[in-house]
Amino acid sequence: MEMICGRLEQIINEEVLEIRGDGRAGSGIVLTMQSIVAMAVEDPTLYVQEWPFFSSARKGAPTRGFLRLSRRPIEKSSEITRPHIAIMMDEGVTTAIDFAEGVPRGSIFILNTTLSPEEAASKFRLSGRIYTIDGDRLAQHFLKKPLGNISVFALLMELIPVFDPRRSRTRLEKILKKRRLPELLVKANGDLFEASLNQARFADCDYARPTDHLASPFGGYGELMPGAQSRLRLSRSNLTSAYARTGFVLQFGDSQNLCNGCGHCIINCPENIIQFHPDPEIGVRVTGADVTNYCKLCHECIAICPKNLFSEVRTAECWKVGPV
Amino acid sequence: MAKLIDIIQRESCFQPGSSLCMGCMEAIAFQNIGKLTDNGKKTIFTLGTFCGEVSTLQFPNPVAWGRGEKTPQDWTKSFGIIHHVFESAPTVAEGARDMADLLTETGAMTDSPQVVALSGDGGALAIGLRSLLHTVHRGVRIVIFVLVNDIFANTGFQYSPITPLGADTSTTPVTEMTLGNVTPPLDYLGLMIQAGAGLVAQVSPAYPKYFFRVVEQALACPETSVVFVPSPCITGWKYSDGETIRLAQLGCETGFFPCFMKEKGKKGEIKFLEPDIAKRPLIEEFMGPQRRFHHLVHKDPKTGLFQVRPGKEVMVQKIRDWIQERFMTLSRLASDSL
Repeated sequence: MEMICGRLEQIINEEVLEIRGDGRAGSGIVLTMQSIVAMAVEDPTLYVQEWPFFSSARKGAPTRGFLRLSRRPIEKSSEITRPHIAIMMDEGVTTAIDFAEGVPRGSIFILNTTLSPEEAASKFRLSGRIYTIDGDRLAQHFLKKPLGNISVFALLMELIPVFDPRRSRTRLEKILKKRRLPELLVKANGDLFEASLNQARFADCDYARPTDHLASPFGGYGELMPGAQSRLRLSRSNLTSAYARTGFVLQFGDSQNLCNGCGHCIINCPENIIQFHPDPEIGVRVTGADVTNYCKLCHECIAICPKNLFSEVRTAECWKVGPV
Repeated sequence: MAKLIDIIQRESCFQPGSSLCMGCMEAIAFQNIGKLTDNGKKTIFTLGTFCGEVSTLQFPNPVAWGRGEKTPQDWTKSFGIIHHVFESAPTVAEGARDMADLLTETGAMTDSPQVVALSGDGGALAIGLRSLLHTVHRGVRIVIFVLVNDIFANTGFQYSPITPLGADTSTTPVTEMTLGNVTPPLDYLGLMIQAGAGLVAQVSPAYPKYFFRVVEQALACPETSVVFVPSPCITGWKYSDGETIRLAQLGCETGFFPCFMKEKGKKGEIKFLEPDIAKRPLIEEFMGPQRRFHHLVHKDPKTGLFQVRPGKEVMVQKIRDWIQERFMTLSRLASDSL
């Protein structure tokens, strides 16, 4: 297996370095890519091309970001199908899409996860150099939010040889200011960037079988109209529980029959997934919620229940391997 | 009037599987409108372009709308959806109403359907104010729901005519020189009453009993009824998860969007808003959790309470004055039995 990580500078000089990132709307894949562009445009000898792809789906839906970087004019403008660097920004998206699809053996994988590189490689069956960084934990410390994008950006700055990580912080803060983030938050992001440097672990692994991560061949237009057939329509399954925060799940516990039948959770559930049955005494008795398919974990039921019967729990279930 | 407990057990025509943000008030409104329209009549929805349309009617999977196993022949459960461009929800609804009336008159259809138009505040009050106003003026028997989130949420959080003072939007940004939106919002409730609507209301599903009562009354109204549904927008207003309902209630109690209902020829009512300013919650409590007001209000690290930022008192006072002024306008409108 030929590793490309030693050749990155050569690829940028002679070919086009292609990066593809998979994340969720709101997980910051766009910000990461735009920050790289902002770094690249400072160097007049670099050509860069970047665009995000997302459907009309909102917060939490899978999104994809593409980036090309080269010292030669970039003539391609297509979707990137065989990236040199594949980024997985959020472990939750692995249940909806295959972030390693079409990635050649020996490429670089960047994963924002708590797993070690070997564990991640065997779980997602990856071959190449696997970098993992626990961006969620770092961001929780600085931003009070599990957002891995700044950590992944810091890792990319270290990886891509044409950039100087020491100058990236000022560029990043400039971009964040442009996005009109409050001053304190901009500073916290800068601190997070510096804390994320040298935090990644890496390993060279070879777990992919020849049949894994194959790009699915074009299957014709079928019964649907051409517009509906786009492979990039990522929200096809519409099982919106994948929008929820990764690693957490809603739990309903009413062992002491505390439900008073007020119905507030039923009325205020945006997804209409609260399960209940009529009860002669209190009107309706809530018995649970369909969390496996549609719960986006919006916290409304947790906030509204007068008896605090709903709660958010950490789950091992969400970390299971997606359909790779 | 059906009881609350019966309504919540009805079948909603808005199913899970929409790609709206988590905790979106529009989804909550659709759920309840879907349950309220399950009243034995066929319903025709017309949707202008807005968040709730593009995220629920994605072409290959318009799964968010439907009544599960029910067939279209099941008249009492049946409904139709017509999607049209931004401004056209009321006018398309008018067309559907006229056609339904014609078919009923000629005897081709025995049960007359109810027609409901759904639109966002940008679509209804900026781009489509003309069609909204004329539809109301013509007095067609339809119900128009306007989901008010104070911005063009679908296109990237731009200013709309009812964005509150001081709010930070894409087109009214906060910089060293500017303080967010400086245009006082349009008095849309007064406008609709002046245009001659049969029923004008502003009510959010955060007050379920009142919401159900108002919507049932609107569906029974023989003239155009316009119901504004304040919908806190988690992404546009930039607040944390699980605060949608609380902000909808606070917004009403502080006077940003008071619950209001007025029928033509009768006295109106303002609900859940104390006439005495001292008894209302502070507006800082409503503005504090939202990052669009971050430049005006901040959380005091010592006391943990939301406070006006030093130097921004003038703008916050302006907002208070505007709220009070609008409360007076609404009280005047409510006391009139026009």
